[in-house]
Amino acid sequence: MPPKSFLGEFEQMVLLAILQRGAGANGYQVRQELDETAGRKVSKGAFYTTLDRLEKKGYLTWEARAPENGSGGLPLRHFTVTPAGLAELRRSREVLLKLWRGQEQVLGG
Amino acid sequence: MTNATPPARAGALLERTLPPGLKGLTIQADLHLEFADVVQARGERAAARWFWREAVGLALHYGVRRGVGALTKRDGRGWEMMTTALSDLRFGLRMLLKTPGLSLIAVLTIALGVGLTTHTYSTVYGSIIRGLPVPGADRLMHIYEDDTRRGIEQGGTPIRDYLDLRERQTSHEDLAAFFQTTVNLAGDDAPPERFQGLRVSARALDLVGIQPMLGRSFRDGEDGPDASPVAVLSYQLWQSRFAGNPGIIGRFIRANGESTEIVGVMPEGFEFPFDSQIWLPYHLDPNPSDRRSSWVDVVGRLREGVSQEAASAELAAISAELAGTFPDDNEGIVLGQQPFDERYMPPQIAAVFFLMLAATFGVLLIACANVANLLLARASMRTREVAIRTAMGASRARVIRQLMAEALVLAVIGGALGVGLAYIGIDAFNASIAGIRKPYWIDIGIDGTALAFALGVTLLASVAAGTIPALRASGFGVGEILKDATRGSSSLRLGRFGTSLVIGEIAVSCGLLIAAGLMIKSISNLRNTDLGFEPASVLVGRVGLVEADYPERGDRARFFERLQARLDSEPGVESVALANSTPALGANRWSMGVEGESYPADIDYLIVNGNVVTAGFFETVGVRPVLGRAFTQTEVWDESDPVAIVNESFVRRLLDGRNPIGQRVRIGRADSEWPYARIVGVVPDMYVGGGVGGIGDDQIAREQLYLTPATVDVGFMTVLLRTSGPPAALAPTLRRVVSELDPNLPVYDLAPMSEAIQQSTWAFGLFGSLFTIFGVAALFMAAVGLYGVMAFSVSQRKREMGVRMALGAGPDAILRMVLRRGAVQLAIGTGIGLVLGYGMSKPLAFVTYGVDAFDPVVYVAIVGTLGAAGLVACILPARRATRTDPVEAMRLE
Repeated sequence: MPPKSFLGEFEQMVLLAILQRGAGANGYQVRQELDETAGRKVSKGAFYTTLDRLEKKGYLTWEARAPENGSGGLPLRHFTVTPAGLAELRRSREVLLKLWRGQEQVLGG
Repeated sequence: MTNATPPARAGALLERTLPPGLKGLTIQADLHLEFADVVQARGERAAARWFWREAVGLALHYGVRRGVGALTKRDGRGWEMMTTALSDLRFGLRMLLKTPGLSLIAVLTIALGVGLTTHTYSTVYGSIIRGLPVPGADRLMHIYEDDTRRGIEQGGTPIRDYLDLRERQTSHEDLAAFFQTTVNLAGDDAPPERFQGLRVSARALDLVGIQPMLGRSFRDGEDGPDASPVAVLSYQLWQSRFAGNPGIIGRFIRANGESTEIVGVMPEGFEFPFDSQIWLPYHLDPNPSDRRSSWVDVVGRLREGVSQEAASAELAAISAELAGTFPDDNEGIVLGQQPFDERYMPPQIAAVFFLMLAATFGVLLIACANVANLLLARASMRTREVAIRTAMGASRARVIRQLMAEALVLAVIGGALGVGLAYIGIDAFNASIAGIRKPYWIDIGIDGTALAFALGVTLLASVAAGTIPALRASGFGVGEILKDATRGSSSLRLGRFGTSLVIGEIAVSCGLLIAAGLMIKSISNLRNTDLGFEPASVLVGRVGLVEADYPERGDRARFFERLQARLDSEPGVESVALANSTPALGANRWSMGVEGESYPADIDYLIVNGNVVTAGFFETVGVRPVLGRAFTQTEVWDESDPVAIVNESFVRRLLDGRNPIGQRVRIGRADSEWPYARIVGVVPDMYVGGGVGGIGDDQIAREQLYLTPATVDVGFMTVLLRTSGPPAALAPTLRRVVSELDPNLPVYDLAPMSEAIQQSTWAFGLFGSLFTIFGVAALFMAAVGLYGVMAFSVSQRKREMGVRMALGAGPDAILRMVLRRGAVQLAIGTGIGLVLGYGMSKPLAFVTYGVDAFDPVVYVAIVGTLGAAGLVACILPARRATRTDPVEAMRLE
């Protein structure tokens, strides 16, 4: 499957946040992960829209789970990155790593 | 885990705007999870605000997406409409940025208008409109007694009347009775503390309609004189003193010295009727020997379908029956009722709140007028642009829409800023009333209603400000304007419309400023009132002995005597005294008689302000007797020789100026069992105070009678300490000495006396500062409006001025000409405003103190301020006019 475009920065961050939180993370946990590691507040609207887009592209799936304590009796979504999503992340990483090669001294890191 | 839930209305907003189905639900679930964390981190109020912000953010996000989606999906036309609208908005913004000064003023004006309106609406909503948070609050009535013979209105009800009424009446489902008290809690691990409490009849809590969240409320019979003591706690008390321990039910604590079983805990936020933290049955004797004793407040729940009028008629009929059966006691007593919340929020104060709301609408009106004026000025400068657009084929609707878009951009930016202002204002308001005792249901915050209101107001502002200029600018024949540019612009002169706008603005701001001036004057009157004593360097704190711990009168006397002696020897204490009521914070009302005078009926006895004080009282509050002497240490505790001191008004009015020394007075009426007390001294009048937030009748010059604890047995005393240093520094000393004498006895209402007095008059300060803000905002806007109109008219008449100057008119003449026009507007506006202000001063009379509705100082000051502001607003454009270069002006266009 030749991908049409690269993952956007924010899309990568969302997928990675799901992976960081481990299987079955809910929306709030994913966003917390983003807040903590990216160190910036993410607009909720942008966040959920990105989730929808990633789902449409087939990079993540979710299933509904029973309400938890504190969720106001409402069901929760648990997110998983699909194999296609993993492949896409890997590809992005490789491209970026290639571009980074040899630039450590200039850019630090 | 807290049991806080997000605001329901915000939840409903989300339900409507989020994507349908599971996705929407799970997004809400995420929000709920985060909400719980925010509650933990920042508290419930902040969390509710947070939730609102998030909900509105998400609603906007999804609402806009859906709108765009719908438009783009339909057909090309929809998309075109969208892009046109967007380009209109973008163009509008660009045009506004071209004249940044003007746009900034317009935005600020709208922000002030919207901010003040939202702020006031939230305040009025939170304090009055929402009302009591109990089911069927509109049917909850307060029943009171008018004593027509003594001229007492809306007084309490004696228990006998209450019980007879309860038996006979049919319009209410049931009646209940209560009275407020303070309750001393001790006997657990925590130090003793005093709480606001309520003594109630057994059914009172059930009647109000709120069930305990833990345990039960009271059972029938538990309010009898011999029933064993039980108590229900408020949520807050349960949390603060018992750490929310659910095992509290069935435990015993000492309440006012009695071992009391805790049977229930009320849900959070319930502090009926005012700020109660604990409820106990009242244990009153249902058949006291005196029918007019054991006073209670009566609350009733009106039956479904029974009107207030019908219920009042029944109360009147029962009053007549009772008066017939018990003529001695009930003659002239008329039972009446009012909605329950009016018991604590008198209609006069509510009227002031609504007046405030009306005043802010006045400010908003000014804001809209100003923006309309500014836009009008700009629109006329663009007549040529509009004409060209029309000539190039733009429809009239398209032109109007474009001009409206500008107004909308202004309104949205101004509105957003205004909501921000309102947030700041509400926070400041809440901070200013934080320490004040107030009805528990007053909860002021910007909520959904207020936000919706602000949004509506913003829209209104934009329509009002945009419509007229848009219509006028687009309403001219194209050819005519293109033919003759000069005539085009002059025919759009602001003329009568702009002038009347400015006159209206000046009038409204003048009215508001007069109201503000009267309020400020009353605050300064109040602050400068000669209290008749010296509150500086005095510390006050209250102790209350209860009968369970101090059963005998002698026990109480001994305690107070020892307390005074111990405090007297503490370093830093210059003098110490005890008084039953604190000066300037209210007083007892006693009926009394002078020996040798004849009083044919009970009603003929005198009613005075009474206080019970110990030796050293007058010295401590810095008052010297004008005649005779103060009480001595021995006589205040000596029951064999009762003594009294009266004030000058007492002598003047009740003794006709006779020499009072040696005269004897007695409290009570004909059947009084009180001993006569000999007057030994006369003191100057002291300010009495009391009322709601200090608001009430002027009480400085009422007759005052001071007796000693030897004559009147009291359990509650205010300790007054005159200190050599700052009074607050001695607060720990007072606490320590009291706890050394009785470790179970709390000291409460502990504060420097000046602070306590200032706090007791909070309502004046509150209304005063609000009206001042309105007045200053209005003044600012009126000045801006005047400036805008003058500047515009000067720029329009440049040509004319050029001609005049070319023909020999000097700068002085030009200046006079411009100023004259401004002065006329100013004069007419001020004239109307003075009448307006005078009209407003009538309802304000209830919250002003010692100010005449026509106070010359206030009126002169306001006219002066307006004149000065108006002069500045006129002189700037006028001076620009004098600098007109005739040649330049003639060449224009």
